[in-house]
Amino acid sequence: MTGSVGMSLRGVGLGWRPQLQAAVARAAVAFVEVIAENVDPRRLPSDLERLRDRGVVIVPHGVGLSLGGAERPQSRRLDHLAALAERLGAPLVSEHIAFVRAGGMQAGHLLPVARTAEALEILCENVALAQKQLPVPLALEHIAALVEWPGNELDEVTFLRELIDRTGARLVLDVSNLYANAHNHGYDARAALARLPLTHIACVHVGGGVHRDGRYHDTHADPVVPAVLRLVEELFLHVEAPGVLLERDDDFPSDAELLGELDAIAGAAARGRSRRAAAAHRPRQERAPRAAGRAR
Amino acid sequence: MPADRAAYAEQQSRLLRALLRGEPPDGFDSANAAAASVVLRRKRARTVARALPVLAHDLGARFEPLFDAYARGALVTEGGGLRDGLRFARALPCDARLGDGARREIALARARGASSSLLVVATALRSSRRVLLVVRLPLLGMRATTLPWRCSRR
Repeated sequence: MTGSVGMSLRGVGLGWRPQLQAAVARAAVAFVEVIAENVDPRRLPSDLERLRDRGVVIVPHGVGLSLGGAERPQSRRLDHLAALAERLGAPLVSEHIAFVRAGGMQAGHLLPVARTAEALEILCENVALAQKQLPVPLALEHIAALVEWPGNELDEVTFLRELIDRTGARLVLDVSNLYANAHNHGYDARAALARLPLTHIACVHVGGGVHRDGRYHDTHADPVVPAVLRLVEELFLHVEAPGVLLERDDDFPSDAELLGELDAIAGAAARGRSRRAAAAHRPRQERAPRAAGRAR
Repeated sequence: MPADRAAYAEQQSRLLRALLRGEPPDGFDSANAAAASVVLRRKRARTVARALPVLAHDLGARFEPLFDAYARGALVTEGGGLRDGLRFARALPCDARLGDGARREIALARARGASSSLLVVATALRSSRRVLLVVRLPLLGMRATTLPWRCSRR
């Protein structure tokens, strides 16, 4: 389960929400994601059926499995995810590296896992349980987190590398989450990007956000900020990443505005791609120091 | 050594409880935790506003502070935005003075979300001086009707 399977997603995608149906149709995207918990595999919304019949790849994106929770993932939730993947003919499913419930309480939001050897072991066990019950490969997305656990033993990139290495799962690289965590917890997003397991990416996410009170908030309800687009370019400078998907969950803009954002994302990827091609054609002695400079 | 799931569960519960209540969790950066706590409540409020849009609109600027006060004390939110919203509506102070539209929305949602198949929900529609009756019957589904307010007094 390495890079090649992850290449099933290509081009630019959009997170499917009922409010965005018109934009999805107009944008002629190659793939969409649906929030798995909002779709019943026995009663697919007709809009989704039409998309599937048109050959648009539909990926179930879970938010409720709580893979990062101390409890094992619930079998009924995995059954739902599996049934949905089969019904949609999805090449993979994705979930978050997060916990969303504990002690009978629901967070209603994604909360970060502790980055300790012990928490990593629990997470890996949970992922393995999920993989056993799913009919397709599982991709894992790192989240944007405002809080960090005291006593974290590993930095986020090392933790992700270990997780991907030990579980064989693939990575949903959310460029906005990477930007958010780097900004809010004071590390270099470009250096972190370069260290991520870039050949194991299944899908790239981009979401809008806003700077408020010194923090960057990954709201999915605001436009994509320029710094995130620059990171998309940076990513494609490193590798030919698979499809990039825009997530918009609230304060929905006009179709024109949304299509403009999709174009901007495709443009950033294209710039990175052409810079990579240009670097590949440059003589070696000239290329090496530049690459080193970028990775810093 | 196998990982200690019970201890981790306790740590996650403590963090989540503090964030939901809006209290600083032990050992965490308090400014970051406060910001995360606000995000959690705003997200929960938006989910409720989506499930009961007339109620949220009716409360206007009061929605956020009222929901905040409710949410800090009501930590278990199993059942999603609708159940959470109905619990919030029940916890509203008497002087919240909801309009007829919000009262109708709540009555219908209560009837729809109820677990029993036979159910009657009544609510007073003050400005039109009528009573809304929502009846849920086995097999027949939901029926709503209004009666003149006066009838009930005779």
